[in-house]
Amino acid sequence: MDLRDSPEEARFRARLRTWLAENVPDEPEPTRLADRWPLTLDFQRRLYQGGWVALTYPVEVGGQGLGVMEEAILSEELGRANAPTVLPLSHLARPLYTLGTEEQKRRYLPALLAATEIWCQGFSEPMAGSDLASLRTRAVREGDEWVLSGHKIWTSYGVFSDYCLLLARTDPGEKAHRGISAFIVPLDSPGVTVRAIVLANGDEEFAEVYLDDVRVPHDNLLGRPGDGWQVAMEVINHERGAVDTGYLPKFDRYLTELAAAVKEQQTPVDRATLRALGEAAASLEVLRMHCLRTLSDRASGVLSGPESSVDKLLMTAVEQKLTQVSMALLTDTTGAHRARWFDRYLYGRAASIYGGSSQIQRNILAQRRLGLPR
Amino acid sequence: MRFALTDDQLALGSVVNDVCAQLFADGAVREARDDGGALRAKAWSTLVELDLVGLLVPEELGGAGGSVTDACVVAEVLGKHLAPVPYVGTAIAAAAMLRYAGPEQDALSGLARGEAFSVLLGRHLEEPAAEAQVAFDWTDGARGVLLDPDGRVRVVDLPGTTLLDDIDPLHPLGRIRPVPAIGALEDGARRARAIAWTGAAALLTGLAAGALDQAVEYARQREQYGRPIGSFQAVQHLCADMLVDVETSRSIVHGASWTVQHAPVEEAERVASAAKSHAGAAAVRTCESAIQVLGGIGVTLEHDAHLRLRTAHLHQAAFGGADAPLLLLAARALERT
Repeated sequence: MDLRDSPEEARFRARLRTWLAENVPDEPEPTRLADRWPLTLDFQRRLYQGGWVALTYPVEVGGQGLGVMEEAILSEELGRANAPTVLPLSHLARPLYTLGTEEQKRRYLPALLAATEIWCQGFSEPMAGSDLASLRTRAVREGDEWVLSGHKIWTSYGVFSDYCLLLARTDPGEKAHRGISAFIVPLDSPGVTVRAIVLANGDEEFAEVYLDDVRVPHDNLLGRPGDGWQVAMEVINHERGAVDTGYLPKFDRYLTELAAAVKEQQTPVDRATLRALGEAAASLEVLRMHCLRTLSDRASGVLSGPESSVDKLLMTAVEQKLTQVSMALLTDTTGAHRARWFDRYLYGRAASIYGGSSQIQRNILAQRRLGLPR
Repeated sequence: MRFALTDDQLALGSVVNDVCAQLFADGAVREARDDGGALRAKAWSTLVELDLVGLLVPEELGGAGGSVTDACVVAEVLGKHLAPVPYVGTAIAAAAMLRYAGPEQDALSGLARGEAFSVLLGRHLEEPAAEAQVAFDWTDGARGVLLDPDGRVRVVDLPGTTLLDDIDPLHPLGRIRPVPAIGALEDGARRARAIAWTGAAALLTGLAAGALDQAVEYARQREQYGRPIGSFQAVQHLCADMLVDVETSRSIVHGASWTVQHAPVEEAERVASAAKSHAGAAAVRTCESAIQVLGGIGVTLEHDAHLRLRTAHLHQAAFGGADAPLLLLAARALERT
């Protein structure tokens, strides 16, 4: 246990701080996704050019060849610098890196990490949400091609994306999580229709993807036929942590902004509300330390998988706590903050649904960590 | 940056675990309620012999010169076993005050040798505003540790102290003759308070971990409707929430245990506040949930689930109640802008 930076880590942090001081935009981030997206992409690409993306990936695929703890430093410093939203890329890059052919890695990874090509994740379907293994989208081999047909939903950033990492059933004889394969699907392929889902705050963050006899070359199969479930687990285990999703700096910013809004409102804050604000701040500290622990465990290779459900439940609790507290604190209807914070609050309600609902996370922990009988 | 415990710290935890398994076998803790302090004295002298009581006392004063993280590793295991010893009150909180708000070298040496010390608190177990009235986790004959009105740590005798009829028989409170005392103002005393909060949080984490173990073991074997009750999702989700509470408490406690010793005092206080408030609430929730899983047996005198809940409440309240860390965090958040 030593939370001090090593000399290399300290140099990394110092360089990063200097870079952020010169590159973080002064103006506040727009609330609407449509207004924010070009700025998000711009900052993401600058981050990449600065050498601050995919820190743990090797240099040859567009990474920086650094250690896991640098990811924690990046997260901390992005929060401290009040940096704009960063795109979570690492979870989609992970299976490409571990299962991709040399050619696939060379072709796709650098552009994915540089955010010059945008990727989305085609897992969920209308009848396969939490029960992902019941997905119905089919892929049939025809010569050197696969023909895909089906319907994906809740595809994050689907309308902004160029490629979809998509799960489809390739062996109809196999049940559940066997017989699923992963494909790289260019979204401009004939037969693909992407339709936005408008969220309650007006954002088109999610999409439905319809696949109508879409043909992709066999080279677009990721891993072997039947490796799809392994791909899904690689992605999911890397999207449940707050460092992987870039949410740690986001929540840090939330707390700073919330405190500023409370001050600006100048309403006396009662003790119960202060206590709630304290709880929100405490939960953020807990998340910060838990992320350090997870990264440290990941670096020493002692993580087996189900633990990531603790990270997801914790991340959800922090987001919901922070945004619930904002509703209790920001009572001044003549102030400028309530509508914006309501959007965040509403978005927080999604946290216990996406990426495997909180109920599924609890099932995983009970059965696979605590060994309770099915 | 390395977050994980060292091999030495893991070995330390394992040694303490073995010692506790022997000392507290076969419901010994439940029976200790009426043994006139015999088990408490026996366990304490074992911890003294193992140099665990003087863990935070520097080696030149006869202590083990260990870290706060080491002490927290010990406290967590003691909590898991529901050890009826004043480890947090004496070996962590009093030792930290004597060291960081002092140092009071003679008292530190005495503490490492096993002499009894008790932190003096207000009647709500808060930091005294003007005078102290309660000796925390009091042993007969213990001397009191307080901050006098000048903010200096002081050791006082406590003649005429009587036992309070409070909630936790394993960690008695003494009613003392009121003595002038204040809360932490100077950096050293503030760091000592942060260490006390973190130590309490470590014990609370252990209490929760023990409650989870008991609940899961019971849920695996107890059958209703022809199935183990642990196969029911409602019970599984209770247990999963307990696991999240335990693991997240462990994360913040380990992080805080390093931070309170090595970081600037402002940061030490912030992280310790999070540890105390989170682990406190988590332990109370977890001990309550364990009783729910255990069913009727959980509320009987013959099961120790109620003792766990008692000790959890007492340590959540100690050194400033559940509120003090939260209000500190809220104030810090509002200062950020």
